[in-house]
Amino acid sequence: MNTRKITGYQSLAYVSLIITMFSCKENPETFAIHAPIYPGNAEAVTYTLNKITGDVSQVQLHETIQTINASGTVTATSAEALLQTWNNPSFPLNFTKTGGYATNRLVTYRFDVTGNDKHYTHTISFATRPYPVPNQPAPVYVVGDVNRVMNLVFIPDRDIPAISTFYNAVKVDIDEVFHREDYVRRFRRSYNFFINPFTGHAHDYDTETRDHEVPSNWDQLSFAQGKVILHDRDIRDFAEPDKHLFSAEHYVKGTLLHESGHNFYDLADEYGGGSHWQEATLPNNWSSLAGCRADAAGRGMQMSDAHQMGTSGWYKLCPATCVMESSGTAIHPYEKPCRDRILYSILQRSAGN
Amino acid sequence: MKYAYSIILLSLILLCSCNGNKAQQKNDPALDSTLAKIDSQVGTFNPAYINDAANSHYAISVNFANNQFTMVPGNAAIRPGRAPYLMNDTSKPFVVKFRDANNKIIGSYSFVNPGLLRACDGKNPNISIKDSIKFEILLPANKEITNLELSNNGKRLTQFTVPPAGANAVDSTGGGVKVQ
Repeated sequence: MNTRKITGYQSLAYVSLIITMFSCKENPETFAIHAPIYPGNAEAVTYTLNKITGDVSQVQLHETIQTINASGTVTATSAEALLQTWNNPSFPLNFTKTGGYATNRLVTYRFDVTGNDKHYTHTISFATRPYPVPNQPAPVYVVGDVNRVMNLVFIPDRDIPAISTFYNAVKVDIDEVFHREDYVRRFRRSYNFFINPFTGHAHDYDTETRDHEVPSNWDQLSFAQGKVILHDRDIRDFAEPDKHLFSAEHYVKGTLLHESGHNFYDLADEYGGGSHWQEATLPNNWSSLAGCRADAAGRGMQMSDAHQMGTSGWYKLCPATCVMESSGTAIHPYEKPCRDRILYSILQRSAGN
Repeated sequence: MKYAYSIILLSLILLCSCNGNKAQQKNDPALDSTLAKIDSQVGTFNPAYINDAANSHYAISVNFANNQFTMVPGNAAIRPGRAPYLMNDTSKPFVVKFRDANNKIIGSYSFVNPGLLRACDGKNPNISIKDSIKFEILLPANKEITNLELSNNGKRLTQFTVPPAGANAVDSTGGGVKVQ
């Protein structure tokens, strides 16, 4: 038997290597999307799983197909089928369902993700086009009970040159806004997205009457915390908070994130001259400097972070990089005080409050 | 000895690269635990939510003109899903309280001024307030609700007797064309 004497230095070296290798393992974080987001009859659908970080050892993709009628009732459900397994995968993962699905279907796909002794799933449902339930928005990326998650309805403006442009913009907004923001994307089971079958029309804040033209099935949309008219014209967008309605160019992403802050989490503006109030629980605006400073430590900030927004008489803790200070093309992150409020709002919603 | 130093050096390199990755999105056990709780509570999407009477709401249309609020008759139709507000949060300036026949408060919610318009777009943000508007009060489809009270910045504005949920047909005000 070949024996070697191991010195003290060598022991230390081996132990440090082993500790390092184990401590380096990270929990996986991934997000899932399908394209096209609202497929027509027999249109091929590609499922994609992207990795944000962490160690993934296995992924499985399953599907279930339901048939729904005009009342929204499920009349048939297929057995769940395993579509593909990936072991020690390289990302992104793609699987294309050639031949797609028939109309009047609600398809549910599930990515099972395993890594670093963790296991979780992405379970997402989408309808095929056209959605058979009259006057209702079509669920195109839904993950939970409409009464327990945040709901956003995308409304096509009548100025959109081709409806395929709109459908693609919806997919991009889900994938490159909600899945790219560092905090929001962690709530993979907290947002339902819908496409409205009827058009609206966004007005320009500066040159037209300050009221957006809502679609004919407006009454069917009032359950949603957010409704956005995606338009083609380059106009000055605005929001009508009492309707939970706002507008955005279909190619602009930052507006969507900022307005979601208002609509989903009751976050106030963080620029002087915006819309300000102080929430009773986990606010991002304070009506006094003293109050703002007093809350700083409990919100992971320093007292010196408290500052006035312009000359508004309102105060905040977030730095200028927070999305509630900005809007438009760039996607800024939500900062810590806003994150607190996001978590609270989603938790409240999931509890049915 | 050189071998030992090499291994220690390799460990340090691995540790540095590992921490670099973690900076992208740190593991947060407390958040993970809360996320698991949220995931356990959100249920699943049911396309028949439109038929769920227990989780529905209705709308009362209100006009504001000449500094007065008046209720628009003829709109208490049941709508699918719950009202979109966080209930019993009266933090924002405009507060809606709804009461039963004994004047007991059943619930409340709040939002910013109903005439407010917010242009957060670009480098020149602006807000304005319309002085003449029609807006909707969304209420849980609870037949015990008989009146509602509106207040702004703590000042009571008005109180209405409201029709019971489902009393009238829909007052659709929208337009648009079907795209599919």
